[in-house]
Amino acid sequence: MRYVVAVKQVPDSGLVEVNGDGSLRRAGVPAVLNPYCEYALGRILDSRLPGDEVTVVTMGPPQASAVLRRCMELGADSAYLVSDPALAGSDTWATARALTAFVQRHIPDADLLVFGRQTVDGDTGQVPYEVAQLLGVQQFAYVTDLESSGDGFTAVQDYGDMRRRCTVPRGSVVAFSGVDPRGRFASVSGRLAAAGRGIVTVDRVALGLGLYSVGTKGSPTVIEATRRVESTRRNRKVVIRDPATAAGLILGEAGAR
Amino acid sequence: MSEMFNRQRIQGDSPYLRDESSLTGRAGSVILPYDENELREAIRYANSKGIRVTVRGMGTGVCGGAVPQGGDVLSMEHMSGVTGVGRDDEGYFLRVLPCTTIQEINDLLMSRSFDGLEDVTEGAVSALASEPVPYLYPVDPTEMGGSIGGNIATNASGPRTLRYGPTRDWVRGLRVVLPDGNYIAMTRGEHVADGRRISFPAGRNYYSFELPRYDSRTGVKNATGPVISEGMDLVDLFIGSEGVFGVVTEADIRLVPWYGTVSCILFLPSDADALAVIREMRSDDLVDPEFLEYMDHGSLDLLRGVMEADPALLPVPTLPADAGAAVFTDLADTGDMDARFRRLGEILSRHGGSLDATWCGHEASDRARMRSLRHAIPRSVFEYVASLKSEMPRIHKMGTDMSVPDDACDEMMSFYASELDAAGLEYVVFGHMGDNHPHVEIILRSMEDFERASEVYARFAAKAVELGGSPSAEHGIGKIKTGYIGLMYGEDAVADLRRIKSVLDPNGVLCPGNMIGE
Repeated sequence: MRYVVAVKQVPDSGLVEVNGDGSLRRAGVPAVLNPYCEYALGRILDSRLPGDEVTVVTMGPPQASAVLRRCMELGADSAYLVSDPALAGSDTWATARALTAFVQRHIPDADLLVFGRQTVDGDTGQVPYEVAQLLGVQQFAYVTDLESSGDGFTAVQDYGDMRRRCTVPRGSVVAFSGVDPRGRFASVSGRLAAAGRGIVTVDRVALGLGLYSVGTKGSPTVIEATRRVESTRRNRKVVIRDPATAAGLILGEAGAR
Repeated sequence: MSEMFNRQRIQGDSPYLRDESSLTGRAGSVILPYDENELREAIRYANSKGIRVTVRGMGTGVCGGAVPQGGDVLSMEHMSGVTGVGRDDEGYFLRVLPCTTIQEINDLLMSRSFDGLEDVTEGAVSALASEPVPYLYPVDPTEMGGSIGGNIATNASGPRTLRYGPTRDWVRGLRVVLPDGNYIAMTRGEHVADGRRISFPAGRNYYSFELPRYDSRTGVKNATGPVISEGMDLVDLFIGSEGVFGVVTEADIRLVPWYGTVSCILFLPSDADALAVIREMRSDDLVDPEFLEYMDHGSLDLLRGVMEADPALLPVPTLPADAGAAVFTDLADTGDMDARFRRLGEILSRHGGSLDATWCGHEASDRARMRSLRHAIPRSVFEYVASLKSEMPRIHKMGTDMSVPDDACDEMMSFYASELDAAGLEYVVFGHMGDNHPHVEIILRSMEDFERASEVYARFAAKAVELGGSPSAEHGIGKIKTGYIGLMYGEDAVADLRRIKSVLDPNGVLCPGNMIGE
């Protein structure tokens, strides 16, 4: 099977600070592999069979190659960096368009397109499904389990109030729902193996995309304003022994909001 | 007389009466000087009234050096900050106030914004700022929240001592206020002993006295008093002497260029394999590790237990099931990493390991996660002991801090195991095996355990000394290990140090009880 895992570099959330206007202070904060992407990649690497090939791709500035290097140290076989100054400022739609063009042009035979649920900096969680829409393939969100079966895969999706098991045809988009707060480490042998592999850089022209379909020009999203939201939650502790009274209190509180 | 310094009464539950040791002290007041003038005023006053003062930095010591035994506490907390940058033939140095923490020093150096710092030598500030790589203070005492003054007072070391040596090697010069209230500013080379006699002026006083008759052990990691030798530098008399001779008010500390490191955890089948890997890595010039930290099978089992109880507690993956011991190391991120890693692979394969059974990371977050695993061991011992407190109120722990020379390491390790096993005590072993300096943490379930462990502990200390090592490798002497200078160097050594104390501090006001007892 040939897997394509889309990943993103994000600021190290443990080190990032927030400006007075609520925007992130990114300068000087080291970039790391988005933990949801790392989790998705890890699930694929853990379940890969002999002969399977795992390719990672990211869209970002040249320094984003560092997270691709990390992915290869963790076990990915090859890596592509979609990078072009014209792509800067892309919203989720323009990003999905660029990733779709990449898959169509460079890995049209991919058996599965794999994503994490969201990034920890953008938090939108839209890109996987936009890519599926643009490619015209099926999409599977909130995947907790995946295994190959027959000519395709079987996935378990967990929607919170419903779990379902479904057949995933080849070529589909899958987004894993989880994240592992304990993360992963590369091994020294993984690092040595990755050192010999190059990263292929793909620019806008190689994707066959026009200037007006990418970057800020190709992004329908407009951010009108950001503001800092202060939490006003007041915690208090009440001790009630009778369940019915306790339920009544909660209902009353909920009604008052 | 109106006091020209800030002095406040304290209560019996004041944090100024404790440090990280189990001791609690007593004191009437805390003195909080804002600068050297106030400090000198306070010391002069204390000296004239015969009030004993115990100097305190960040209170992170584990031997009670900052715990007062009556009198007042002299807290240096307001005398903090980096003040200047200089450069001499040996490279860059930083001028710092005594209560600056190691973390603050390195954060400033990493930020590379040196606005407001003084040029101790011409153009040093801008030269340091424009270096292609950041410079750091290389001594890592593990507790990065400790003060540089406290580090100097105890000649602190830590994992990186393997490569960089202890604090003493990085002190270019000191400003010290003596018990008479005078100060002396000295750079290495200015006041050197003539044989065993050292002489120096301080204010209107002139001091001249014979040095102790012993030579300190410097071939092993050792924090047992100041480093004494014939022809020694006066600077070294104040390093490691735990405040009994004077109070450091300013220090010049040397820096090294920092190229970044790759952290690795190497998993091995057994304790013996891990110790063999450490021995080979230590003597391999190509692998050239920054430090070598050992985790024995008991430590890994302890960590597995912690991770099973709460998977979110430690930000690292599950430990490999077949790992019986581990080595934590840092390698400087040089251009020939591949060759060095291959050599490491050869070493591992000779002892049942492989490069596959490793964790490796160069990103700051990866390195921090691996450090957190290593630091979780002592914390887990502490928490394990605390969790058993309700069933066994008397449960307690006891940790060793002993180093021996390279050729005595195997014998010492066998001695630990055989003595503890014979006494039927539970323990884990981890720590700075690169310097033959493990921490053996003994878990005590009862008073009988405590008594047996105390006997075993005394035998460990005697054995370490017998093998040419130190019974106090990095924690210092403080108030809880005051017998150790006598144990290492003989009772004459203690008498000699007390004689110097009586010359410099005839009223015995400064840090009474530290290092040489009372």
